[in-house]
Amino acid sequence: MSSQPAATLPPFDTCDALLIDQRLFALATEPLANYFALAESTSPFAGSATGRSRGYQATWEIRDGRLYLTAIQGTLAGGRAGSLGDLFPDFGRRVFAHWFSGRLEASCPRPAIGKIVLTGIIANQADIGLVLDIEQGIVLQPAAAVAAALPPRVAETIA
Amino acid sequence: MTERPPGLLRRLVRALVGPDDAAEGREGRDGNLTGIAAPRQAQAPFQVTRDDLLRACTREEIELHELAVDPLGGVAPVPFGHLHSVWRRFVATLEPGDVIWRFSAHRVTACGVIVIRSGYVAVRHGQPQRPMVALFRSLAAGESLGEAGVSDGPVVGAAGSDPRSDVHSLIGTLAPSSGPVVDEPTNDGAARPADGPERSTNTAQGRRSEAATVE
Repeated sequence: MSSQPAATLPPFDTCDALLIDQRLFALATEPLANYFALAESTSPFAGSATGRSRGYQATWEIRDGRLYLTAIQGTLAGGRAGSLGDLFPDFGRRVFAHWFSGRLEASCPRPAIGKIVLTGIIANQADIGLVLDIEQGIVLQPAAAVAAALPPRVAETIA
Repeated sequence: MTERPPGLLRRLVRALVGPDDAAEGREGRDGNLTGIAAPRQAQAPFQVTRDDLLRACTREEIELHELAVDPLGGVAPVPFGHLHSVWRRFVATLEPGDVIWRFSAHRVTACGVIVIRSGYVAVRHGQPQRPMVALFRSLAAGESLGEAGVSDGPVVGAAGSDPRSDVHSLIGTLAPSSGPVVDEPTNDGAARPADGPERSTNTAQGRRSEAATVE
């Protein structure tokens, strides 16, 4: 597991969230971008006119060595609040991100964790501390290696 | 307001959708990019070349090979899972006589990013047509080609299997096999597609075929 990621954070205010074993990370990668591209579709969420905002924040989870999309918050182009079901109508709870292959880079948003998922994560490149290599939605690193790289649980961090 | 420098994501998606798409505003396939003005560049959209072809496949083989399975029910058990509609659209474009080939294309963008696409393409009269890209990734700094597996083997995520063992079985398959070339798509005098600004890192070695023609 690399400890020195060098990729550039996406130029947006709000990052996706990544949950691993009850730890919350700010995700510097955007797996949904790959989905929209591969699906030859456009995002139904309304981004800002400046392109500064994507119009959504997705929550991802690593579970049993796989990457899942578990929630998405945003405003659809028509103004209605969008959800996971708007993108994946038959999968309102969990979507296996088999389309994603690449490197997930995440930082641990220690301050104000309770609000971050709701109001947006400001990722700080200097804080990137977790790198996971994903192949077709499956984490390449052994589970033990991932667990060893995790910081204390969220509750412990808040305390 | 100062102009933001191009980020990895923008370069990555631009490499995927193609600069021409971007110039036409279709860069907005992802909402992230809808507001990014993409200058028109004299770059061709992604095309599969003959050197990218790995092996010919039947539709039945592909649909079995690409069957998506997830123990937690996060995807429907259909070919290509959440990308099933893309596959259906691809199949709808097939014509009698087409041969479906699996491809893996490695390109180096003008920014120096290695972009890997793999999927399927119909070869018609020896000429690869518009592909279905099923996997896309760009290599981050520190990654090597050998770490970027491209599925040319077993189904990833097959039921009852260890997902990591599936994935590890795919690692290293980027390099074409050194086996004999059984078959190649007929050329029919068709010129090899002109390489765009992206430089192919593939070699023509190791292509193998189980000839199959769409009827």
